[in-house]
Amino acid sequence: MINPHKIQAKVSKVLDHGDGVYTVSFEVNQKYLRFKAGQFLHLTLDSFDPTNGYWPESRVFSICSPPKVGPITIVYSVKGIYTKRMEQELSLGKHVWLKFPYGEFIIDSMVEPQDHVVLIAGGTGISPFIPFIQSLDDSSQYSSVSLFYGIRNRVVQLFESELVQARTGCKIFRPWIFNQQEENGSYPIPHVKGMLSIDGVRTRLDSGRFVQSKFFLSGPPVMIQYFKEDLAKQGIENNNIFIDSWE
Amino acid sequence: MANTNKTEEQLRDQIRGLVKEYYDVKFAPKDFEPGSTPVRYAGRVFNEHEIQNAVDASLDFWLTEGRFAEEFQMEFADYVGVDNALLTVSGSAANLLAFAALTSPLLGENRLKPGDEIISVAAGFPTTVNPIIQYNMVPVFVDVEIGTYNVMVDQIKEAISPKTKGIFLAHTLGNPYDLDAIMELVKKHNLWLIEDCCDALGTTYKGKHVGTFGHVGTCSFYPAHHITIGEGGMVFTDDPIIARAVRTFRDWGRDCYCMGGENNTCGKRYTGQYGDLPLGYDHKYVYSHVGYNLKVTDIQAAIGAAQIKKLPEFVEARKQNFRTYEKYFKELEEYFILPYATPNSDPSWFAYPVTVKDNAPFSRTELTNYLATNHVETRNLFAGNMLKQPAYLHIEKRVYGTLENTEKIMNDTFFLGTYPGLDEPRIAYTMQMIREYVDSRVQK
Repeated sequence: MINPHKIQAKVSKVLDHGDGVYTVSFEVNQKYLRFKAGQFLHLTLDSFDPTNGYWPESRVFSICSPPKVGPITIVYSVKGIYTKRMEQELSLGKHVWLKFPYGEFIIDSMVEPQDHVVLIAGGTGISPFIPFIQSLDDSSQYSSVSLFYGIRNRVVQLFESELVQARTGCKIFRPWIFNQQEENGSYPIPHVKGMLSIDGVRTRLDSGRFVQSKFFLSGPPVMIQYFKEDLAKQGIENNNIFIDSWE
Repeated sequence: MANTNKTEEQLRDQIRGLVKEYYDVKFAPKDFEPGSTPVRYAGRVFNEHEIQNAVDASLDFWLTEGRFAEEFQMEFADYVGVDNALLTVSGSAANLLAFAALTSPLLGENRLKPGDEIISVAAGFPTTVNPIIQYNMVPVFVDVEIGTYNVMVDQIKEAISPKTKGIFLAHTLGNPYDLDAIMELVKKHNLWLIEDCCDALGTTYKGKHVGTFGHVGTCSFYPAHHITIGEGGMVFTDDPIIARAVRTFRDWGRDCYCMGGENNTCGKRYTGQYGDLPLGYDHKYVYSHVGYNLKVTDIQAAIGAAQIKKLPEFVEARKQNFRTYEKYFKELEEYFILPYATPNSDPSWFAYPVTVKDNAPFSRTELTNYLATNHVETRNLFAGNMLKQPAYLHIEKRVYGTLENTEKIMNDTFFLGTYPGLDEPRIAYTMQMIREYVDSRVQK
């Protein structure tokens, strides 16, 4: 784990996707952009005095911008009191304290060249996958990288341009989007109607590839638990299933 | 109620100003008087910035690792070019933690286990070897070269057995060993490599900092070293699992990630299942390793945060002092074996080591005694032959070959300092004393 550090950052962009989902970017001094794709940060809305090391209440968010280049970006969904506060308080120019990096959900440290990589994301759970996906290009050594991304509807679909760009720039990358409300083949990445499910994943991978793949799960705890159990039932070994276990 | 109308920041500024004033009085430079001013082999090199930082940290009164530790660790990691740098109480503790980390269950079956053999040398500092013994493994001793004072790589090749699982070596006095050759062996035999860089901060091999070739590197901040925090050390690595193991061993063996003043960093403080503990047992008190408490104070780290800014100039000064000695000693090559840098390296010299040749009409000890009488400090090459030391006479070990160079180093080698507190007049005086002594013995 890279040494975590606490820094003050300024909100430089807020994107309201609707349905209580936001993307927020923070200006951060370049020298502090030290993290790995898949790691997360703590954000606090309260004041923090570095000369008095008590860290205030904070929440964790996956970093969805690539390492080493600013700004640093997160996505959040309004679900409770703290995220409601974020919705009210995170406006352009607001100063907040961040501490990062944390977490071991670092895909490229857990896979080998030639592996089949399967990313399964629910809602904002796609965030930790984005820096990894953005790092893919035609020189990537993996046999394949498949993304299965479940969303409630088109409004809350995140990172469309990043996914399109990755698909264009990397032949081994294949994204599927499962939309609970509609099927639409005309979107830049076609939407399949239905809930994201293990059957939906299995039927889109040939059987050989399915059992050989390494699976990365990110999303709500219920979703992660469901996929973990179902993958095990399908004969996938536990050491080939990786979860974003930090809340 | 405070009896002042000044703000905290105004008071801090005032104190910083007073510290500068104090520094100028207390530590004003003194003229060098040959023959009475001691010529030290090492020492602290600092100005008001280190003291101001230490006072600043004292005013915070956070005491344990805090903002300065964060800053120092990050600056250090950036300097050597790794992801992870973890402060600890000494270079010896850094060695202990680096070695302990390689026994961690986090590393799976490849981890070090009791009975494994680890290759090292006897001509060095004991705490490079001690963790091997303390973790019930078997040190395998091979010989070193005279001149670089580093391991003879051919002997490592020959000493490797099926039980050999690692190599633990210091870059002697700042001069790196043949890292290309050693890394080839590491890869071929799937060995762990710990690079003890306690005397080698700033040294590069093919342009890359030592300590970043193997799995984990260590460094010391004792006052004799390249930078100091009094008592301190650093473990550094690019491997996130080793870094996690080091942190855990350092911090009581606990599984928790939180630093002082933090809670629930992982977000699972009361929901995890660990060992045979009840579900949700407070993660703050979950111990996944049998660890230590080897953390520093933020006051020490504050000194380090100031020192590391000066490291590039310190390294250059050490190189320059080495070159100055080299110029003088060239004239005495008849009686001394002179040091030389390992090919492809750019050492940040800890010292200038020389070995008295067999044909010299004086012994090492006679010469160093003479120098001590004339206020010039020298040091032997640490433990000499460690296996002759009382504590090591009966350890379980394997010795490859005769260690004849190690034996010669024990008898005939000493070193002079290269630290940035030295200057041309001090070195010139030192060499005048050596020259006078040599001449007096040659004439007899």
